[in-house]
Amino acid sequence: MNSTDVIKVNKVFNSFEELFKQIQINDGMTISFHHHLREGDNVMFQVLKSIQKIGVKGVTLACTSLMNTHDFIADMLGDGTVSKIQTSGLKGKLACMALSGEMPEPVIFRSHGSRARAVSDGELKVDIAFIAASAADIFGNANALDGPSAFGSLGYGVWEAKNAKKTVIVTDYLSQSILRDISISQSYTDAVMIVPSIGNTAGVKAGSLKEKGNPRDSVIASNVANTIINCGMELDQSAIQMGSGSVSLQVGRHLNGYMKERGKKFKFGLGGITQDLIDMLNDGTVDSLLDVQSFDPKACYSIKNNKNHHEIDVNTYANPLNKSSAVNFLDIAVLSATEIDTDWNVNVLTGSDGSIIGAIGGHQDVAAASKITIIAAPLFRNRIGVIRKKVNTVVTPGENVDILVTDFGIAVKESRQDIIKSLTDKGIKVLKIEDLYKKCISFTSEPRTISFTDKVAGIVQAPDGKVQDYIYKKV
Amino acid sequence: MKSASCGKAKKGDVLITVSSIDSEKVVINIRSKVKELYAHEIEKTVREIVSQAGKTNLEITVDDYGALDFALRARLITALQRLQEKGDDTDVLA
Repeated sequence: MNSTDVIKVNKVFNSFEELFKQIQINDGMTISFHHHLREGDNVMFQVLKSIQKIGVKGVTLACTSLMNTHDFIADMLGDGTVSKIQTSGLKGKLACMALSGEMPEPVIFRSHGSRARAVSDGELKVDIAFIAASAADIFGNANALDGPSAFGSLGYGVWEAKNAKKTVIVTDYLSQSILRDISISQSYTDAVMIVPSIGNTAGVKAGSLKEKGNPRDSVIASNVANTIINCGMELDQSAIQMGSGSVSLQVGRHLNGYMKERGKKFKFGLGGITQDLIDMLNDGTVDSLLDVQSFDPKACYSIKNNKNHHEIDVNTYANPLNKSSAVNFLDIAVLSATEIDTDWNVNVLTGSDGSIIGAIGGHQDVAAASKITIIAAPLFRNRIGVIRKKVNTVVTPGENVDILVTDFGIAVKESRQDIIKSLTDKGIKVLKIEDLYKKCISFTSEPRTISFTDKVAGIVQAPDGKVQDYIYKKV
Repeated sequence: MKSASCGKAKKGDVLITVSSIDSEKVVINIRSKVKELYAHEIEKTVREIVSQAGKTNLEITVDDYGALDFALRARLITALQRLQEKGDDTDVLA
């Protein structure tokens, strides 16, 4: 084959059988997937079934995250197709398998920033990245903005494509003309695999992104907005990340109104982009959106038509080792928690009973970088206290957290006297986290201590790749 | 056998079913979303209320969805009252 033949190689495949003749997949390889389609993803299923069919074994599955829809992987761990998992979060059957010690190797959990670092510094070497895209052209350019299954930003996929040895774009829409919006350039693409459907974009909003609120969430949201407005930070030209879920959406609505009334404008809104941030962009209360992941497929229209709605890759979002990631410019961040302890350590990955129920997401990256980090959480969820003496798993260390806002009041860390003074001066009552802990226990009573074995089920990394904590198999 | 119940099989609530039995014991069955963390507290509260009411010959099924202690108490007390109201000669399920 001479150089002209290489240029003429056809990249487009209609069957996995043909694809795997061109793109060699062998035992023990590391393959990667992104999670933009969340609960609606159907790409991982189609690719892994095809790999299972040809009898490849011992694959390391390196996903930017995993959802309930990926329960089918349990069978593939059983028959040896998959042997290791690296991810941001784990749910359903896979979470149970990890905890019961049924996985051959501990699961490695990384934040989005840590994942970006790991694929670029060589800690995680991906042999083939299979990237769900809603549109591709015959040259291998791809985006997630065109086609019937458009899902918005391709922020995680872009960085996988740039760092994997081979990149396969998996799509259900092959554009006849060259794409105008190019998220992944043809220069990174080895093959384009056409499938009947990449998934159901309605599943993007499923899972943790429930919009339906309750009165308790409204109280928390109102307390969060009040805290942000009165914490002493000048909000005009400040940068904010608010997260997803019903509390965050309501916080967005409060702040939108506040900024509009005063003619103020946030510099940028970062992270997972919700409909509310898009509304703020349209209303002129935020100057730009930096979108690494669209939590609403409506973001497609905004990215395509609003020049201030930027698609950014996860490297630009939160890689701690590059020259300038966006999280470093954050002034205010609102994050969630499954548990927070009286030393301010936060857990977003495991529950109080030791089960794996969440994902690290950008939590560690954002908390470490933001000038003010607010944890918004109810005092308890169904009898399970959120404030503990000691969290089950330390995901984000207490040194990176400043404020806890609950439905029963606001606590500020002793060392942030600046914030305590600002809030107190504005007539907002500031509590100690120990006070909120006592309040929590007065409702829930003291839970039984859960026993764990010394067998490691999961390794929780810090953004720099060091071990932050371990998740142990339960007794 | 008489039976009565109170509560809902709903997040944050608890459904309690009390039935009279032949044996002079109090049998407690606990199904709970938070069983690992709070089964001991749930049983303690149930025993306390039953003994305060001076009852035996009961089977109590607690189907808990993370109810707080005061909700558990209220549901159990009401279930016991409903059982009492049914009298000794009825055989109607709640």
